[in-house]
Amino acid sequence: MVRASFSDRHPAGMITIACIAVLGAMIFSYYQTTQWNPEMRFWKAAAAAKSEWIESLRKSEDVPVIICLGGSATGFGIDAEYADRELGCRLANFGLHAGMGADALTGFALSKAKKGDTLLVMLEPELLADSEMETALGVQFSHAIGQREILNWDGATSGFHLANLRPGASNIFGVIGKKLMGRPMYRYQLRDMRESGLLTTPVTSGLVARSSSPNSLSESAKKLLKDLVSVARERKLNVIYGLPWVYSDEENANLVRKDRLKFLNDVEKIMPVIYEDDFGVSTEKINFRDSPQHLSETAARTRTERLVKLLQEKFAVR
Amino acid sequence: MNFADIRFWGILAVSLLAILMIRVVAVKVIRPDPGHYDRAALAIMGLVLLGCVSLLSLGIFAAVSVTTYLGLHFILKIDSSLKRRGRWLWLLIPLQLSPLLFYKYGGFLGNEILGLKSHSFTNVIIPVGISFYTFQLISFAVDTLKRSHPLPSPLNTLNFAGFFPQIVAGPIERREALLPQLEKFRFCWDKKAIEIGLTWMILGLFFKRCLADNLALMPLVHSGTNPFLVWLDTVMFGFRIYFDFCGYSLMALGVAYCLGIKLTLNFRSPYCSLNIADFWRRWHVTLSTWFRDYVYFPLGGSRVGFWAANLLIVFVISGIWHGAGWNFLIWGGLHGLFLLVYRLPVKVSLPRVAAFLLTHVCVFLAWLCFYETDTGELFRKLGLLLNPASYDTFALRAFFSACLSPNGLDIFGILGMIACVISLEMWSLRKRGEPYRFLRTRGAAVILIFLTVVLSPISNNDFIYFAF
Repeated sequence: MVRASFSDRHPAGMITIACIAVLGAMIFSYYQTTQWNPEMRFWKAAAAAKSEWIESLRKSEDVPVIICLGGSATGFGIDAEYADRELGCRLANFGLHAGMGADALTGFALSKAKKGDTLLVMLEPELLADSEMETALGVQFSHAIGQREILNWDGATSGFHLANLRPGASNIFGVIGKKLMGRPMYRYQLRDMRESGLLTTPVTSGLVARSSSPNSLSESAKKLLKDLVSVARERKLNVIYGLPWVYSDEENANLVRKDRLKFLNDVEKIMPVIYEDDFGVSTEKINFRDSPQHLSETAARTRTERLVKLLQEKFAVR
Repeated sequence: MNFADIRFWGILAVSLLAILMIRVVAVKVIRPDPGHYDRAALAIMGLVLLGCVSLLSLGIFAAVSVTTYLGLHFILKIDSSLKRRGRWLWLLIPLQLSPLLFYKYGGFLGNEILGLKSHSFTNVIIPVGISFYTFQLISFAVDTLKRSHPLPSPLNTLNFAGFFPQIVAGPIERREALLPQLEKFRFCWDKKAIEIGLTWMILGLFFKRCLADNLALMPLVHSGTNPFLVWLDTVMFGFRIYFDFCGYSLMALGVAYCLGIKLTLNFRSPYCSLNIADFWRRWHVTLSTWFRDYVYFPLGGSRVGFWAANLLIVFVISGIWHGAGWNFLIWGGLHGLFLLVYRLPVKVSLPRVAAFLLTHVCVFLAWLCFYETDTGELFRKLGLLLNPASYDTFALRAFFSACLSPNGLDIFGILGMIACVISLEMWSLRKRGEPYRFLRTRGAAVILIFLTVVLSPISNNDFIYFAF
């Protein structure tokens, strides 16, 4: 027996039903994106660990801290524990997921910064060449950690969030597929993260050498960096830009270096920058893990050491 | 006029609010004829919405509409003979078609046919909806002159040409179906019509945002050397274009329903067809019938000896209508050929499953010609798909490994949902003889809303047919 369609039987209730269904879906989406999503759970835990680390630094001695902010290139590239223990430099690794966007990453670091701190901006050139500074993942992250204000650090009211608090097919089918196939729910595990927030991974597959790099800032990135300089001035923070390291092959390394030099020149018009040897382009495959910007633990230590030296010599940052 | 864009609904809501507020004031002050006011308000709203898309689109639409109206007015005034009036169409139709030919085919004619290699055509932006309202106005002109219908008022003509739910991507409506409804148009709160309209909109939004937009995120980057992956790309494109265009059409139907206007159902579950003729009775119905009535029949239809040539001509023109490119021409020609074979007097009776599979192999093979704009690459891929030797175990293994990748899981998740939707369409047709019936029930609406909210991507894609 075929049932009559709803429109024939109860036309009056359709709008109510539609509203309830939308509400139910929004509630599910909110919890999926901010609480249940394995990827978000990992980054939420990472953010908590990084916050704890900076608090522990401040508890031991109330002196300024260097906060390295950026995407996962920073997460894999700065060993704050090593800097504290071996180099006597108080660093905090605030590298999270680059997909969160420059806006959320900057806002999160700023939320933990105090007067006299140095913000070492290590946002990936790809992020700063993009026109979108605010991303859905960034919005979801701000809700997940209960700090929605991290998107409003520049004083601008943030846009329409509701649409961004939805998982999308890729997330849902990805989670279902991984469950069915018995694969890990996220490619990084909390056990691979050090106390200071340094990310590590044993995975080396998927490493492809870069053959080019963005050589200029997008207009929205220029605005973001200018706003950051202005906020830092108000809050008496130092701001410096430093490029994360990247892997390239011998054939393309010089091209990538040229691109990165141009990029640094563009950033220098807004804030001081660190010029490293080879502009952070390495042709040593052994220094990298699962991505051309994810350093191995050993390389992260070397990179941290060189960075601290440059900061102390050129910028008198301690 | 993107129904999947929140800005459209914002502008629509503001326009409706303004119309109602002005009406309340106007009724008290100048006491206009409410019907006349509503029709004028509908026309202005259509023009505002089109103007919000682009001023060029508005300008070209106005030019084609005014040309049509003034042309018809002039012809009806100076010539009373029904036979001679028909001859005036040879002048009026080229005038109506000239903006379409310039914007859509200028580049192709100049660069590909005349070999000018001019860059001035490449940057020309095609005004939205030009193919749709041009065709609607051509049929309006033909029906008015050949069937001796009176010329409606300029306001009603404007509403007919620019009824906003269907102006940018159809359905291409006929004078006798749409004009009488618009002549009696009033803004009113018809709860039942709104609720029915809502079910169509929910289904259309699900098709567009949840299925088509997710398929659009899965780029067609598969190896052109693996026939299984080329088939997968082609199948994904075939579904994407269906859910994209059908989604738009269903939303247009729903919006019009809420305004008390019934539009033609432009898609009738085409992927449930058991033969190629049936497919064309279900796919883009209003364009197919337009070509039948205004091209195929005037050429002599199937009553003449050269009916096969007529059929091929119609399908080649239909291909060209979709876009200026050799691939569209091949797509149209291929469908013409399939239909020709189907209509041959020698009939082979196939089991239902075999007929279904054969029809869809033909349809999806033709979709390859639709999306592959590089002619050289198109022929290479066609050669690959038609060569049995290319279907080896190595290709099959590569296909399975691609399917088991993270992207593969997404694709199969979406394809799984599509399989459920097509099954429900088939069930609706078999049990109720009506497409989409079971997808418009209360339970289905709840599920579709939930899936649309949860699964639709953050980014919003334009409708594919906006480009046509």
